[in-house]
Amino acid sequence: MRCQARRLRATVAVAPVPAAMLAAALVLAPLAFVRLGHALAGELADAISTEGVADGMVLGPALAAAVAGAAWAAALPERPSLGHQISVAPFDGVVAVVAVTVAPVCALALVVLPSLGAASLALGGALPGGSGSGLALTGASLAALPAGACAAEGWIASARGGPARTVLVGCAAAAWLAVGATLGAAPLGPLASTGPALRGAVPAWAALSASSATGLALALTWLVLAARRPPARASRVQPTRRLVRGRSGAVTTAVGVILARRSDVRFGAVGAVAFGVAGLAVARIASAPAPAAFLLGTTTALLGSALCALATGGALLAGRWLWARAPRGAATVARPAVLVALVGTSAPVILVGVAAAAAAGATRASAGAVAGVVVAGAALGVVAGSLVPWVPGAGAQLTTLAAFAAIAVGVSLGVGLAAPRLVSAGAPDPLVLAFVCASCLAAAAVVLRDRLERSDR
Amino acid sequence: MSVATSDACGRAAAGRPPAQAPPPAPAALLVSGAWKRYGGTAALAGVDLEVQPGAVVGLVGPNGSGKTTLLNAAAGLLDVDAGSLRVAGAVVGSREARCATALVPDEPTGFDELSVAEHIALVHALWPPDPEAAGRATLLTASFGLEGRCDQRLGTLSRGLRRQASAVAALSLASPLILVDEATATLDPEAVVVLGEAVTALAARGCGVLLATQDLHFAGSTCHEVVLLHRGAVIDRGEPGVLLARHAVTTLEDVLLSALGDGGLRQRIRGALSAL
Repeated sequence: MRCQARRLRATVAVAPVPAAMLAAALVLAPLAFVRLGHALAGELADAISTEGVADGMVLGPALAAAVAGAAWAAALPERPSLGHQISVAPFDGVVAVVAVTVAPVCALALVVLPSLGAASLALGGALPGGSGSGLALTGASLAALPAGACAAEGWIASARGGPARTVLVGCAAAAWLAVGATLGAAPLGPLASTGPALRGAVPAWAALSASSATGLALALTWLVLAARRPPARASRVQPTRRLVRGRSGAVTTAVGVILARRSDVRFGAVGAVAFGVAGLAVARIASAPAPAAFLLGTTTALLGSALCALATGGALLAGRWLWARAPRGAATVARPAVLVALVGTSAPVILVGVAAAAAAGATRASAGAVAGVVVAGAALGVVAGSLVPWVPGAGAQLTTLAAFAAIAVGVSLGVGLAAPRLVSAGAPDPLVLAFVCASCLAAAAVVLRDRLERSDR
Repeated sequence: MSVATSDACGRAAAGRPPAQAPPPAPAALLVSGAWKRYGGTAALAGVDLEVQPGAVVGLVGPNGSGKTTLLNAAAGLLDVDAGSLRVAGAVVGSREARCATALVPDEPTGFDELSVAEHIALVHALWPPDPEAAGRATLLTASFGLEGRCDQRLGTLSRGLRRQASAVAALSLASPLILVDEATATLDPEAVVVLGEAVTALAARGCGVLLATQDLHFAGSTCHEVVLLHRGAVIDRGEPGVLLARHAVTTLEDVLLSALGDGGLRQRIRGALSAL
């Protein structure tokens, strides 16, 4: 905690104005989310009596939270991150996990809980279930975090040769689905009573109790699983196929190879596809209308694949001693890097998008919107990862994610204000979309180049 | 010192006979009154330094004396607050200066996912084409004993082997200025010998070499000139033999202690630590 607090103090000292703005945003965000909750309730008041809609309201945030939980577990720094001297000391693995997660968890709670709680309470208050059901919705979203983390632990265990643990997590997942099926919404498992609570069909306290107990049990399970992870397999020393050779395209290939061979980027890409397919399946199960499955699948996939864009800046800045000295200048590195980040980010989304379009259909407008979001998301991911490099450590990565979220929100507001005016002035939608995407990509290349060339890092 | 001709990118091309008497070659590195401060601490305090083509100059000094700062400034990775740095006559940071500089960093970070061969290929691709670079890389790879590891990723190698791979990539450019940070750190004795012979051979063909090291034996046996840095300032300099004679001692270690005014360090510390 002290280390993280000192890092935070150092960051605030370096950039006091952005830090003050962020603090102000954190304080004011719950107010904005109360308005959002009321607005959402107004939109959904008539449709809430439909089971699918109520369950969908729980599924959306829960799925996003599960993805975040899985990413969290995958990025969790292990015992050696405490430093060789401390990590060899005789203390339990649970203590080590708590030590590396307590500060990020507190920071996450400080940032997310007030806004999530405010929105859920406002939403629930305007629905038949009342404010209590809003609390249950918050609880369900939070409970999905350790659920995703536990799923990731099963995955990690299977990658590291721990079949018993994988089977255990698989059985738990089956039990989850069975409980959910009994309660009426299989994907939500024990959280399935939250949807009926929002409709007022189930007492809110019952749903809140179920989600709280589930969340607590899952969090404790994850803690034990994370503390007893099988050791990572030794790095393979088999020969690597030579991909960087010759002069033409060497920089693009090298950046692509550096990112593609990183385990966190690979994990993000595979997770993106898995969660995207899960999102697609959930939308299909909920019998959502045509573009919903496509939108849910692709945007969920983007949550995982954006890791490639976020990692790009840090990967290049780590090799700044070479890239920045290239005679042709850092721009010759930054442009291909943005292109690689775009390809790496969009590939899993395209995969999921094609599957979703084939399985559930997609409209041209929704495809265009998703393409725009992916291109802009990749570019803004590069910007965020260049300004706050994605480096090992939950605290540092949380900061990068916060920067990404802040930049994305800022750009969304800007585009939200400017784009409708351009369209009403007669500019065609595709042209406006292309302009926004091109601007984001150009900004990413400029920011990355400047970060590489800045001499006094 | 030998005077070398150079190609379009300023790359040393010893052995090519000049058509007419060339103008005197500019210094491989010329540092004039370089200052660099971090807050209230001066990392460089008015450093003047010259590395002639064909010379191997060693930077020696305690931790935090400014050796790496000076190398990073010469490489164009760091701006100085005052003073000027020129590489082969070009201002540091310019395209010409970048072309003329090769750097072997203390820790070649950021390329763990590339294999040794890919890393070398990338460095060659970033610098202007040189038909001889690949041949030099092959020779250096064999000399360091890395042939069997060419397809192994840098991240799977020990730190010493990573540094050897990085040295192969940088030295094979045969740039007019070669910068080597913490020259012998983490290298095994064989690699230290190879590195010493490699920089000597490159200096013989006209490259200027500036290396920072804590290995005073290596500095004494490899460098034509040793520059002693302390708190960012040059406190003494000269050929190793001249420094030994000037301080009336037998090792460069004693030269350094004498120049730092800490000649009685051994006795003092021995007394203080007797209670251990």
